[in-house]
Amino acid sequence: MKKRVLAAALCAVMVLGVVGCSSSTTTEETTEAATETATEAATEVVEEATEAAGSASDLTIGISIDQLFDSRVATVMGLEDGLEAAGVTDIIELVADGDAQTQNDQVNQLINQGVDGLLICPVDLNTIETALIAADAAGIPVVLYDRDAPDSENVITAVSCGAYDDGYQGGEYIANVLAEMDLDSYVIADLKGPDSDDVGVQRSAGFNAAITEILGDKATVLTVETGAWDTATATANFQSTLQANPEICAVFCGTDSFIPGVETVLTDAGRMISVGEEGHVVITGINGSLEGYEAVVNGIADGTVVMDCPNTGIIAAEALLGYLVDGTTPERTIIVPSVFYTGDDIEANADSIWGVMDLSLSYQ
Amino acid sequence: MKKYTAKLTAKPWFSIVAAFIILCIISSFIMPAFLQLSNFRGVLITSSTTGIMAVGLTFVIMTGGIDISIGGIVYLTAIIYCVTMNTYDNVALAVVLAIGAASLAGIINGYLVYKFKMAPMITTLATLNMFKGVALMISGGRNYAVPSYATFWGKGTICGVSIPIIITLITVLIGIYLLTKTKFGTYARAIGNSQSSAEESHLPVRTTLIQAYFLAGITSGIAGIIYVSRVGGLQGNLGDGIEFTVIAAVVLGGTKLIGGSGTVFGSIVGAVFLVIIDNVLAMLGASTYVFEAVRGIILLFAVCADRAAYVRQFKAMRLEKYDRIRQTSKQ
Repeated sequence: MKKRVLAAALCAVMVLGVVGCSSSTTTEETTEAATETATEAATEVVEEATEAAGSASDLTIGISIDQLFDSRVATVMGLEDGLEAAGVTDIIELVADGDAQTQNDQVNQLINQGVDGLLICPVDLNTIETALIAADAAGIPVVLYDRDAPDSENVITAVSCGAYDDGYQGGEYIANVLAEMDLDSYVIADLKGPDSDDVGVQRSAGFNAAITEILGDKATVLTVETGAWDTATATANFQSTLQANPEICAVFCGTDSFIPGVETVLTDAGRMISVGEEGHVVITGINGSLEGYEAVVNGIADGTVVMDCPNTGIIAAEALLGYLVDGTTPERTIIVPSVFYTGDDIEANADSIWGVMDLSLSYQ
Repeated sequence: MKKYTAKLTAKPWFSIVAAFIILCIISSFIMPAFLQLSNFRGVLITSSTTGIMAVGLTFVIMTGGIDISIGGIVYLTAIIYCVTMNTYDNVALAVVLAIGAASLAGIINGYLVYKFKMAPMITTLATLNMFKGVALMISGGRNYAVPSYATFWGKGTICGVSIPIIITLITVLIGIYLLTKTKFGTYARAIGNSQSSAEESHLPVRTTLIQAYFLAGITSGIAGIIYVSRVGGLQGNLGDGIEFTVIAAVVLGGTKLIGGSGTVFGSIVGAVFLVIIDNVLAMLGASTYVFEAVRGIILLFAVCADRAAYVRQFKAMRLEKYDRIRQTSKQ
């Protein structure tokens, strides 16, 4: 019991540390909201973990992971922290390797193994519905993390970083910078994720909303297809788009991973000019990975929207355990706010950026 | 002139070169930007990875085999390159380890295909998963950034010419030399025509097969380093599905899937052709689904053309056989 309480306390310290370090940002309101949410969540985790330690320890939780990459690993570590803090030791994790059908099969396997609850990050927001219906029929509650399936009625909640708001923040920054230039028209490239991924769709929608709101008809957004978040495809297609539209003055990267490829293309075209210098192409990303951080620090990108991945995992685990142990039904959607950092404040907040704060991060 | 035209059209790469030229002409009318030198430079750089891999795979397909593990080798190589760079900060060591791993992977494929007489597709499907699994074990699912000084292979230039283009050119020249000027090329074709006949003729089938898969492995390794250097970092889905693009390039280039004939030149033109299709679609702002559909149609066309060529070849061989029998009976 002492170990569980200690684990919960450590977990809370970590979450508070993450949030505490992110207090000096340019967007104070967002940061305050993030701090409040995270603090509340951390407190709830500790309280509920302490109370539920006895009963939660009997539970078996299945985690279905769409694919392994940096931000997902950070979220899964948050899930594990949240579950272990509450005393859950029986955790089964399966990775679908980006294949929607494999994920459905894996979720069915977890159902057959008699798990008490499921934490799922769907590969495809439509395909996953079959597995969600099967889980519902078996009486197994499901919490989605990182990616929502908005039309599904078979999940108790979806905990994610608010893809629309993330996209909006990136778009708002680009629009404000461009508005200061006071040009007649602006051509902006949107390197968006796949249509089958709600995160990609929402980020692009948020970005486009901000651009339309601030720049109106002056802005033309060119959508650049990137396949399934594939950096090589993004690089090749951006190269072709830039060739056909040399007047592009800003690039919105749906994920930080696209930034190095954009840099390569701009360098090839002789247009890679650092932030603050004349002729610079405005670039923003979303994620908070090391790639994004370094791009902003080195003056390649203007800023990046940093997601709170570890906290997303903790809150998702807490929501599932709350439902299983206490019968608490959370809201259908829980948004964990992200913070937009620029070159002015990113280094000062490095400790709160998941891609930087834990370089030894690895999923084994 | 007629004789020259007949000789030219008989080349296995004739169709793809003709299609390539027609596509370029049409595209230049639709989009003037298409004809710019910088666009062709971009197309050549983008096609370097699939082009280099296509050179290696040409030899495998020519032996009558197939290697679908090349996507896994690209991923494995990229991970070894990134992890070594992040751990030891030594470009030479990273390149040696990455290329060494890719070569070993190719040798394993060749050995398994020969030793156990298993269908190459099944064997390499198994090793695809194996290589990806090993790669994931090494990376732990992490994304790795490549330090800027180690991205020379993807972003660097020599005398204004991009390094990927130079590497592709060298690989193609080596490939053409191996195929046309060495016994290895002849043996590869012979094995593709009939492995049992090649064995009965005491040709070094085992060595040739291992060499062919080794070439596919090492070219995938080179492509992996260029890939990760160009995009500046490693992602979990790197190399996913690239094997099918490379196979399509090789088949489009006139190499028969049943083995026995093909050209390195055709394969590289096939690789550039596929990238030009993507280039045109991206310039037009087409949806990702259109990309997929167009690629599918082209691959289908290539497979149909391959089948037609096989039937034509079979008919010609049969006619030749009848002629021989007729002549023998006359005598």
